[in-house]
Amino acid sequence: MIPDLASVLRTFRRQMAILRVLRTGGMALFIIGVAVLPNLRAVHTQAALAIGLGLLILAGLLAANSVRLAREVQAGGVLISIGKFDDAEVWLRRGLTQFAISRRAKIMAAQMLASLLVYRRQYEDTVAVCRELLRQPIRRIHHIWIDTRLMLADSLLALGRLAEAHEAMLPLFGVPLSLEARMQLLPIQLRYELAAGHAASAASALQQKVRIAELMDSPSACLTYALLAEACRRQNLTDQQCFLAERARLYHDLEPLARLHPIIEPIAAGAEKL
Amino acid sequence: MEIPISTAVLDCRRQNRYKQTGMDLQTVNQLIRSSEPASRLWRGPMLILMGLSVLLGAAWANPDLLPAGRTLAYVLPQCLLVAIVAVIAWDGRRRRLIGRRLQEAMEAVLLQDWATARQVVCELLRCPIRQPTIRTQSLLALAAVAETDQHYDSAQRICEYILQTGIGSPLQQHTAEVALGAALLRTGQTTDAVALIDRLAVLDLPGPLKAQVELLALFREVTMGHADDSVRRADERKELFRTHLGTRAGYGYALMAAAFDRMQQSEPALRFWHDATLLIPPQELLKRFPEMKSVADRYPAVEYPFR
Repeated sequence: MIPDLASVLRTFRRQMAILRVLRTGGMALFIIGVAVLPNLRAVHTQAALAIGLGLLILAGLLAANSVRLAREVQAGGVLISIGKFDDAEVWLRRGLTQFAISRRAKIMAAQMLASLLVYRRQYEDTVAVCRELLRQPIRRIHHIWIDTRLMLADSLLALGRLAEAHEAMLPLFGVPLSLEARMQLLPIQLRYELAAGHAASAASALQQKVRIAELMDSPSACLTYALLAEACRRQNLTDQQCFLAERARLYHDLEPLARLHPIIEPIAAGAEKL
Repeated sequence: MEIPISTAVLDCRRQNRYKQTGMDLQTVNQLIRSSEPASRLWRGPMLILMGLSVLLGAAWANPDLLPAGRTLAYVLPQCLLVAIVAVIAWDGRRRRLIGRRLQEAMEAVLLQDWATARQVVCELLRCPIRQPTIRTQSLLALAAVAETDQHYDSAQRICEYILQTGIGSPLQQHTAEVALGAALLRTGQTTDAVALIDRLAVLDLPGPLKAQVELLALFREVTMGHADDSVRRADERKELFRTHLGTRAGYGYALMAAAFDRMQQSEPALRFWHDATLLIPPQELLKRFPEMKSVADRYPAVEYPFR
């Protein structure tokens, strides 16, 4: 548990609200400036030039600050990818709490913090960060909106909150998803369907699901095949179950995954006997 | 949005060459040329923006430069500002479009939908691409298409171009090197291939990159008849492939089966061929490695319950 996560999220929320106001105000000022400055220039040329130049310098400074924040967030992402989670947390926390004009960089910082928490299996905290992100207008940043919903559903499933996980996933079925997003969604969807007792749905369209699982990295593919095998076991599709369980074994050891996802224990136990 | 089409690609389109003959060398050269960005500073939108900004700055600094009419003097700076905003928006939209097309191409390559991949990559490389990583990724997708069309000389040309110009990220450079190694083996330039693979093999690489290099080294050993090396390192390589290559580990297992078969060790060859065909159907394995025919004839493949 991150000790002061609530206060970090409060700061993030406050700054996002300020940014919304600044954005609207800035836009209005720009329009007024464009309309008024030429007239002002005719009367007070030097004053108009000074105002124009001042605004330009201010915009430059704000942009430089945003670039710096974006770089810090990127550094956080790199640190997560090489497993230096504590260092990444420092950078991302700074990204969330420091003021910058770029809403996108702040949203990215929050999304990366959520993925860091998923890696650490701090599911309660992940839920808090994802819910905060979804309160913001992030739907236009399509991939972040999708990632956030996926992480939220994943964490809620890990916490056994099925109804909320379903609610988090549902909007994803109404939008076009990239192949990468479909690859992330499939194991989460299967876990939900099996946990909720919808094995028939999990075992449907097997060929398409197998095609997607084939593109995943080894641990994710192993988990997906084991989940599909479990769905087939529950539906008495023995041939398919054996094939999928054997495939799962080829990608990764099933036992460590079964400890994380007890739903595949019957398949892991069966594979051990093979 | 309509993307400007270069003369070279108009030729290519007119002749519809890539659809008829696959990614031949001439088509690939045309696409490399047409995707080259203009020189560093004076690029399309940058040039327009600079011009508009200079005009705007001049108009602000010296009102005498503006036309005498009051309305025109008022409207002109606004028009220039609007034009600057429009150029920035147009450039952003174009970047997003290129990003979307690249994603489409990469998804088609992953799903082995080669017809779509071929079409999208050609469309993408018809116009200059300014971002080096996006251009390199598109060229690597083109190399994958050329390899599937068995135009190994084209794949070699693309990889050599990427390595010679040094464009793209270090990861893309590494991918190009591995692809070049495979292309050199296919085009019979064994000495160059061996030198390249040996150089890559001694590098201290992270697991996923090491697995790619080991797969290439195994392919070299099998094609050059050095099966004893492959057999000796079978367990170590199997674990590496299993951990890092996902489904593509199947190619490694198939090559391993061929190595054991050459050493007349039927039992491990049978086991590896079983694992290979459990991951990848034998038809796909043979399409990529026609030299597997004898192994496929000798050992039974796994039957898929849903294909």
